[in-house]
Amino acid sequence: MDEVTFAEKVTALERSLYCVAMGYLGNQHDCADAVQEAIIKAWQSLDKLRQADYFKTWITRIVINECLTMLRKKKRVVLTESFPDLPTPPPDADAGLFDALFEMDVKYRIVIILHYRDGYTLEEMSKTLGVPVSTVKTRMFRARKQLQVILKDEEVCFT
Amino acid sequence: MREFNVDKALGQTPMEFRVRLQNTLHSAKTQKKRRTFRPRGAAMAGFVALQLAVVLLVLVQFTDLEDGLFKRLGLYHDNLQPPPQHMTTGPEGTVGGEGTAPINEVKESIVRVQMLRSEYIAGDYSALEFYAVPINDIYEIHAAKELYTRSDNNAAADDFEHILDTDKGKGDPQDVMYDGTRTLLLFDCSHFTVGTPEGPELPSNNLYTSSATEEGCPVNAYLSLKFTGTDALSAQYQKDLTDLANKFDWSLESVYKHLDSYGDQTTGWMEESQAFIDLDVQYKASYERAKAMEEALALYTDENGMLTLVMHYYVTRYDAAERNVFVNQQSGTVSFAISTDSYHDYQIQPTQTPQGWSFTPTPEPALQTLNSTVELTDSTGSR
Repeated sequence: MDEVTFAEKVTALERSLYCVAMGYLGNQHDCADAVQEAIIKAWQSLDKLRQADYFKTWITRIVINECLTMLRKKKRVVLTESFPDLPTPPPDADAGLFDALFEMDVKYRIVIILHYRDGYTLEEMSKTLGVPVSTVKTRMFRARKQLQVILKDEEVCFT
Repeated sequence: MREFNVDKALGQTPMEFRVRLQNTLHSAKTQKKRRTFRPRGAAMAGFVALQLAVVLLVLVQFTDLEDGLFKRLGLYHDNLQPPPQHMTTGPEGTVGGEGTAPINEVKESIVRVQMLRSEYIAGDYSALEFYAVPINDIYEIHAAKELYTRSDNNAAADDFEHILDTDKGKGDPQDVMYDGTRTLLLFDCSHFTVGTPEGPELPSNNLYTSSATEEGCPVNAYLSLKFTGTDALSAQYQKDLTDLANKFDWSLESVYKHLDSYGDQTTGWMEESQAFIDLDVQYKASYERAKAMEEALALYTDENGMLTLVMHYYVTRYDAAERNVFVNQQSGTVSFAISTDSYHDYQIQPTQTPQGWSFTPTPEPALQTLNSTVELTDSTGSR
C-alpha cells in the first residue's frame, strides 16, 4: 500500500477512529494524541498487514491499543476497564446520551460504538477487540441491559 | 422508546483532531522505517563472527571436543533408524504384530473381528454382538473395560496393581485369565462412523463393551457392545433436527428477544443468559453435524433399509509393567450393515469344526440380512 492510499484510507476512517478513541478516553485532546501515535505506528508497520481488506479492523485495533496504553499511563495501575470519573461531553454532543454512554463500563461502551455507529459485525468486533465472538455477544447483550438500567428501564432504539 | 444515536452522543469530530490527523499523515511517510544496508554494521558483525570462530577453533584443537563431537555424529548416523510407518502414513495402523517391530513389517493381524448380531429399535436402544478372536493361540482377549488399575493415587509411586474382572473372578490378570500362560489382549470400541471410516461420527451417549464366555470356546472370544443415542440412526430424526434448525432465527436481535424473555428477576440470570448465548453457537454446530449425518444416512442406506456403519476399535497388548496399559493401542475398523427399519435379533451358535471354531448365525437367512463383513485393514491396505 502506498502513501497516498494509506492517507486516503485513514482519512475515510477519520470519524470512526475518533469515535473509538473517544469511547475509551472520553477526551478530545487525548483522542488526537492516541490516534496520532496510532497512525505513525500503523504506517511504520504497514508491511505486517497481510490483507488490505482488514485495514479497518487492523488500524482500529492499533488505535485501541494506543488508548489502553494511555489509560494505563494515566492511572499508573493495571487497567481495570472502568472509568472512575465521568468525562465532560463535547459542546456539540447530546449531553444526555453522552453521559449515559460514559456511565457504562468501557468494554460495553466500545461494542455499542463499534456496532451501532460503525456497523461492525460480531466477527469484526471479535478480531478488533481480540476476544471470541461469544464474548462479543455477551458484551453486546450486557451493554444494552446496562444502558437500559442507566436510562431507568426506558426502551432504547439505536439509530 | 428512547432514540439513541451513538454518533450524536459523541459530538462532531473537532477541527483540532482533523488537522492533527492530516498533519500526522503528511509527516508519517518521513518516519517510515527503512531497512538499509549499513557497511559499518556489517563490518562489525563480520569481525565478531571471525573472533568467535577463532575461539572455537582453539577450543577444538586443545580439548577432546573434536574427537568426541565427530564420534557422536558418526554413531548417530550409523544408528539412524527409519521412522515407523504409522508416523509417515497416518494414525490408522494395523492391529497386530510384535509391539517393538515397525508397523510396516507386520504381515498378519492378530485379531479377527466379525459382527454376529445386531439389534436396533429406533428411540429405544441399539446393541451389537461380535466376536473378536485372536488369530494366534498365544493370545487371550478381553474387553478393555474389564481391566482397571488399583493404586495409592500417588502418580510417582510404583505401587499399583492391575485387576482383571472375568468369570473366574477379579484379580491379577494372569490368575483370572482362562489360560494365564497366554498374552492378554484388551479390546475396546471407540466410535462408529457412517458409510466409511472417514464418514461422519455417529453420536452416541454411551458405548459399553463387555466380554462374554461361551462354554467350550478355546478363547474368550465373544464381545458385546451396547450403545445408546440410537435415534441417530434414524434418517427421520436427523431430518427433524435440521428442519428445526432451519426454522431457528439466527439473527442477533432474535437472540436478544429470547434473552429478554428470561426477565431480570431470575437468580443467576446472567449465567443463564451466557448459557443461552453459548447455546446459539452450539446449536449451529449441531445443525451442521445433523445435516452431514442426514446426507450420509441417505447415501449409505440401501433400498432394503440396510445402513452401512463402521466400527472403530482398539486392541492393546497387555504389559504388566506399564501402569497405563492403554498407551500403546493399535486401531482397526470393521464395516457392517444394520437394518434401521425393524427389529432384528440374530443368534449365533458357535460350533466346533475340523477347521476350528465356527461362528455361523442361525437361522441361516439372518446372515444374508445382516450382511456383515470383516475389514481388518493394515498399513499396506490389505484385508
